[in-house]
Amino acid sequence: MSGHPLEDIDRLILGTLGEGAAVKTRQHLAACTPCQKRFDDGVLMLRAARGGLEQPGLGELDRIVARATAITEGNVAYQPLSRRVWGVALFAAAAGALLVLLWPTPTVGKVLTAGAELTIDGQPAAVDQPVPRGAKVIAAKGDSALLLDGQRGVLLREGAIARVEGAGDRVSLEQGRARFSVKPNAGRFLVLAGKTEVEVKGTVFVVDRKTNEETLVAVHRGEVEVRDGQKAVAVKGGQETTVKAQVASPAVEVRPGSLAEDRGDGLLDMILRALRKVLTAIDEAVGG
Amino acid sequence: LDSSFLRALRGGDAEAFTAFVRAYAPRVRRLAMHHFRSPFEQEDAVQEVFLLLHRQKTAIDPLRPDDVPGFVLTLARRRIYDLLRSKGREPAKEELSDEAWVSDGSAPFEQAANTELAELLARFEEKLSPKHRDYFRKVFVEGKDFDEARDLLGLKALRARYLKAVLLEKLRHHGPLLEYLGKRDGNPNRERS
Repeated sequence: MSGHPLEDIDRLILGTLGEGAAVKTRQHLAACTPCQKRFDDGVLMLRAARGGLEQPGLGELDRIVARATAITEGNVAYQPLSRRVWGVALFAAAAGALLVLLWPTPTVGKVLTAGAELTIDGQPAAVDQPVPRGAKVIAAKGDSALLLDGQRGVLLREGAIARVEGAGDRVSLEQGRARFSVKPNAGRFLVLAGKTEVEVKGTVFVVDRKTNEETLVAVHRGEVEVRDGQKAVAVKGGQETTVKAQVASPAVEVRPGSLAEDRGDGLLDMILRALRKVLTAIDEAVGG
Repeated sequence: LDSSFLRALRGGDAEAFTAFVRAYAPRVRRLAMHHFRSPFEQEDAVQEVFLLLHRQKTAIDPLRPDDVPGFVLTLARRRIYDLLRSKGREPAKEELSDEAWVSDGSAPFEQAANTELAELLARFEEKLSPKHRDYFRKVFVEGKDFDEARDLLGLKALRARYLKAVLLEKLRHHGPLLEYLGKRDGNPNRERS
């Protein structure tokens, strides 16, 4: 089912999908039999959980009501396609679906260690599970680590949400804290945290997206370039910088062993003990 | 549905239409379930029915509120039959009874007649960890509001989202439930998705 919007289908069923995405997903469902079966099975499972297949499942009536009441807002996107365009849409969607089926999403990495609750594109993930290009990875409980392109280790701290892009050479950190370990001479690697960009060639560093407006970058080894959209700030090993309201502060030296990654929790030794296994796995994997 | 409400509905009041949809969605859904097997098709049929009702709202007589259920049923049947014909299918041979049309359809879990389903769900719950079980019972079985259940169990939003996705996935892989649904759709070897 690679290339099918499985996560969006489940979110549509569970009522956590935005309006625009819901319309697109419904249009896909109308033309894709395997996805429609997934939707149908999911809805039936939720109905069954209520004690009978005649019962409306979790969020089902709310979904129906939200969709129907949008009619009064003149939201034509909610209305089914007219018959005239239906054939064209079906043909285009079927052709697209066939293309997607024949052109599977490439794998750009794998899971090195999985915390208590790790998901990839909404599905629970385990060690050695492939990470497809464009995957959304959520470390909901516990820390988890990924190895991208065999050269870049990413430690996602609990609560972190990241999307893996490109050929595993670009990670968009949507929320939380992550530690990156990049093999020297592994080529360009970019970490995006909102509008802040961190570019690196070989180093170990941490990006903590505290809020949408504040991102902290701390470098353990090597050097990175932090771009805030206006200028670039070079941050070397043992230094850190904070980007607030799209302005990066000058890099500042930090006392050894007290970079933001550790200082944030105030329990350096305990954290390092807990993370040693994961960090070692990453270092071994990237040869750092 | 008194006269003033029906006047507002006729006049295109969005809030009145929302209340109207809330009132009739369970019945229209039941009618759609009677004629369509796929939940996706059922939801599309419900949407088409309400689209037609919105276009025909001026035909509602505000002085005759008792006629509204019959009006909705007539238009709903007409639209569903049109949809079936457009797909080259015939309507169900037995029409939905009037009793089934007006019953509220909101019987709680405890009243479920299907004991087989109740038993296999009980086995499913037994296998869950206590944290998963609590959330499953509150949200999936009892149908509690997401935020209310989250507050009751002291969960963070991200954790609650995770639990919902994981529990749905676990349901998808619960063998006895797959067997039950397989028997229902005549495919005892139903594949795990």
